[in-house]
Formats: sequence, structure tokens, C-alpha cells
Amino acid sequence: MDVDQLGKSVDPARGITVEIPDAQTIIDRAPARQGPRWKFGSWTAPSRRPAWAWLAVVAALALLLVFGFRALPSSKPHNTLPVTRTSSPSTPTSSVGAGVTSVSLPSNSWFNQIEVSDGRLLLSGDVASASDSSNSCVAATLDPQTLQLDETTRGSCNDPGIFGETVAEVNAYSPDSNNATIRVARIDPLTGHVSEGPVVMSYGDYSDTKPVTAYGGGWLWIYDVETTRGPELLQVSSSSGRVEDTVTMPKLYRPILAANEDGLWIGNSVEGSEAPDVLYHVPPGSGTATGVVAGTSLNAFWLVASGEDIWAGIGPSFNQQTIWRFDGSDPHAVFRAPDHGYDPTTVVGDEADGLWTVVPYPPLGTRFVSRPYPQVAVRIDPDSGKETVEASLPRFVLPDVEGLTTGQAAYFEGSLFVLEPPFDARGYLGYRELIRVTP
Amino acid sequence: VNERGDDDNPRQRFDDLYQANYPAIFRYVFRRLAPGSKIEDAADITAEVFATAWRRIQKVPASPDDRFWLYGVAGRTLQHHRRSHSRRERLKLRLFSEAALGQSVADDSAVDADRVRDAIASLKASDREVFSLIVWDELDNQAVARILGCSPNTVSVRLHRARARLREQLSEPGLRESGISDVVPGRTKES
Repeated sequence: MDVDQLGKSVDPARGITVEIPDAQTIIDRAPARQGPRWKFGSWTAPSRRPAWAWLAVVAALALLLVFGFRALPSSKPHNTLPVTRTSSPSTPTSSVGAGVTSVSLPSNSWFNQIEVSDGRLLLSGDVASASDSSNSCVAATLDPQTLQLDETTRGSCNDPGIFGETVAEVNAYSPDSNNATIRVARIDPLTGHVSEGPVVMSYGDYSDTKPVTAYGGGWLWIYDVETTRGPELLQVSSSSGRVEDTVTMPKLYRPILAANEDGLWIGNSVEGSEAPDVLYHVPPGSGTATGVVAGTSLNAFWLVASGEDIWAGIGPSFNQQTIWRFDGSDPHAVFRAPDHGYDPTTVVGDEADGLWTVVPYPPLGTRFVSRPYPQVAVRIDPDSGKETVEASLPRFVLPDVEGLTTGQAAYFEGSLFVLEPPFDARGYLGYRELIRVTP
Repeated sequence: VNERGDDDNPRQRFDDLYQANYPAIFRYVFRRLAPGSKIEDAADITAEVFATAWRRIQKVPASPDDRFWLYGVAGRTLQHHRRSHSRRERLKLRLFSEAALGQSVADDSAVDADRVRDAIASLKASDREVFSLIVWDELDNQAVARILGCSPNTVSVRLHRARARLREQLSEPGLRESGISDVVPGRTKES
């Protein structure tokens, strides 16, 4: 048997005609390498900010609406695109079951994240027509009742205002090395002026060492495992944009983060490496990370932080999770409850609304199913960890065994909002529909 | 003055390198992307490889080593591409794979080709890389040794092991050789 010929017959590149692009396009690309779009390249935890922060953000956005970014001065040139706004056309809604309504998302914008921000439901994503180098993002406010997109805003992905934030980290990549730096972009709440501060972190930009961020409690937290000073956490003020604390951290690759008024909670994820503890807590201004849950063989699968509460799914594997709750900075758990086979991967919500997730059910385990598969919305009682199935979602072909991903769902004003099903469009992730589940 | 001791016009040197090697590097990249990946994905990564070459044009060795240098950069760029995917980005990769699975299921005539693909995919990674560089990229043992940073003898051992393993897997009942299009009897390479 001629295995070489057999092998050649399945050459994936066989029959492909390769067109050589103009070399100038490569040269143009080389000096200023664009990094991943920060909002979607990192895991950003749901934000909860005090009232003054909301007011600042609202004021900033109001000024932005009045003046527009094009007219705003900038203390330092950065790749902020002009913000354009368009009203969205009406989109038909359809009821797909008791308490479940779906709406098609606009095809010209690839919304791939939904979150509660500034007391509104915010959809964000990539601009469909943008080239890789444009770093252009889109955001829209969603009316939770009508499921209409009230206003679509386009601009630079480095612009905090696009995502309803006052500060954001901006990554800059060295053209001839894997060195990268982070500055903090800040919107002046009085003038709406967007500016970038000095470099606050230098790190090695490798697959496992990308910075991870979380908003919460009036802070932006930035962690990177491979800074020039070793694993490091920055506590950045959401109002001033200044670094208020720098914390030397344990070595955690691809951790998960969640922040609340008691500080940052950082979990050693299933993608990380062995660490003495699986969950650490960093109170604001403390300068130290304290291990809360020990266990080198454990992983943190999800974290939800709000107010003074933190919930976590922890276990040796997805299907062996225990749901933990901590209050304040007390290292003793309020409860530990076993997950009953739902195997959540991402959880949203808070104390008032409860915790919510969407999972394939019955669990897929490691199976791949190419036909539409049932999913259920599960509520986790925030006070006991008890899980209850609240609704069935429309069936979709699910991409794999992994369930809900970060930014795919949000709970707002009594309903769970879920983006499904995912699709790929020229390398960007998008979702076709928005589903509202009202238990 | 570059490492070769001359002071060529870097733009001209890059253009020559680019024109001579783009198709080979593109195919090398395309073959190693996730199943179902698009031409655009391969083009993007290939562009990244040549962007690196342009940034480091003074360090690119002279021909024929320049091609091996490009293969090395391409391998590292691909590795970085795979490992740098966040959870969200891996979702996209799975979507690619899902699309590819759908295509193969729909095409009954490709069943045996799938079996060959599976057999190649089941090879030990180092053996698979040698086999694909020899068979798909049509490089000789010396070139593969340069790219992989090992001895030609090691390449021979790995290739022998890969072929033996493939023969063993594909000789099991059920394979319809005639079901694979464009299979020409006879050997094309032997080492």
C-alpha cells in the first residue's frame, strides 16, 4: 500500500490556488501589529460600580452624545476611531415558548457580548465590515421589553465609552518582539476627553500570558502573569485612571477574575497551572493576595461577584463542581453546595436576581452532537446553591461540549438574556439571535 | 549590513523572498489549521509570517536557508495562533470544526479519505510533522531536518515509523483505496 500517495490524496491544500497579495500590504502590516481586540480577547467580569461612578459614566456619555468624539481633543494620539451612531431598524420578535422570546440580531454587526452596564443592557461586538487593523467595535443598548436596539455606537475598541466604562486598559505591542505594554485610557467625566496615561505594565505577550481584567467596586483590576516584575495585579481607580495599588501575585496562567466592593477574587482556571490555592482574594489597597480555597488539584470554573458577595464553581472537573459562597472578606464559606449534574461553565446574576446559567441538558459530557440539542436555563439560589430548571430554550446545534461562554448571557430586570446560536464570520464570533427567558 | 555580510536593498530582498516562498508557506499554514478553516485564516497567518520576515529581514539567512527559516517562523506562528485562543476564540475554532464535520458527513464518497485523514491525525505529532513535510510540502529529509532542528537520521526514523503505522492502520479491513480520488499506483518517494 502506498501510504505516501494515500496521504497526498488527502492533502488539505490540494487544489488550492494561491494568490500572492501585494507585498506592500505585508510591509504596511509589519510596523504596527494590532493585538487582539481587548474587549473580547480578555475575560472581563460583570461590573458593579457605586452610584457616583454611574453618574460619572452617564455624564461622560451625555457629553459624548452632545459633542461626538471627532470634536474631542486628545492629549496623546491613539487609535480611537470616530464614533458614529445609527438608529437600528425594527426587528421582529417571535415567541418560541412560554416566557421565551427570541429576536434576530442585525446581520451587519457581529454582537458577541451582552452585559449589564450603567444600569442598561448593553450588546457589543465587532464591526462586520472592519478589517483586522481597524480595531473597530460596536455597542448598542437593548430595550429589555421590546428587544429593540435603541442606539448603535461605533468606535475604537480601545475606547472605554463604547462599553459604558470610564477607564479601560489599552495594549500596545512591540513590532519586533513579544513585548507589550498597557496604558490606561480614561474618559474625563466633565469634558468627555479620552486620554491615555503612562505605561503601567509591561509584559510578555504570549498565549498563556495575556492580561486579564475585571471591573467592580469602583476599580479596574489588571492581572498579568508575565510582567517584567513577575506575576502582578494592578488596582486602577475607575474615576482617576491612576494605579492605586500594585500587588505581587502567585503565578496563575489564564485565571478567571471577578470584582466587587470587597476587592478582587481570582481563580485558578482549568486552563491554568498548579497553584497552592484555587481561589485568592485581594482587598482594595491591601497589597496582598490571600488564598481562600486551598487545593492544587482543584479548578475554578466560574466566579460571580456583586456587592459584598462572591459565588464560585470549584472542583476537580466541570462535572464535579461544588458551588461556594463567601460574604465580605470572611474566608469562611457561607455555604458549599454540590452541583447536580448541570456542569455550569459561565454564571451570571447577583444576590437580588439569583444566579443563572444555560446548559445543554441532559449533559453532553464529552459527546459531540451535530443535531439541535435541548438547553435549559438553570437558576442557582444565591442563598443555598440549590439549582432549579426554570425554562427550556429553543434547540440549536451546539458547537461543542462547552456550555455558556463569558459574555453570552446577562440577567436584567427579571429576565435572562442569552445570545445563541454562535456563528463564525470571517474569523469573528457572532450570534444570530437574542433570546429572552422570563421565568 | 546583514548577517550574510552584504548590504542588499532590504525591500528588494524581501520582495524576492516573498514571491519565491509565499505559495509554499501559505500551503504549509493552510494544511495545519483546524479542519474547515478558511483561506482567509491561512492568508492572515501567512501574512504574519512574512511581516515577521520583513521586520527581521536583516536576520533572514541566505537562500536556500531562507525558506527553512520561514518554515520555522510559520511553525511558531501557527503554534502561537493555536495556543493564544481564548475560550471564546476556541468556540470559533469548534464552529470551524463543526462545519468541516458537516461537510464530511454529507459526502459519502469521502468516507475512505476521512479514514486516511484520521490515520494521519493519529500519528505521534513528531512523526506526523515529518510525514506531512515530506509528502505534502514535498521537502527532502535534509530540509526537514533543518526545519525541525534534528538530524536527517532522526527524520528518516520518524518517517519510517509514520509510514509503518499508516500501513498498519490503513491495511485493516474496510478501506476502499479506489474510493479515494487521484490515487496513482506506485511510490513517489522512498527514503
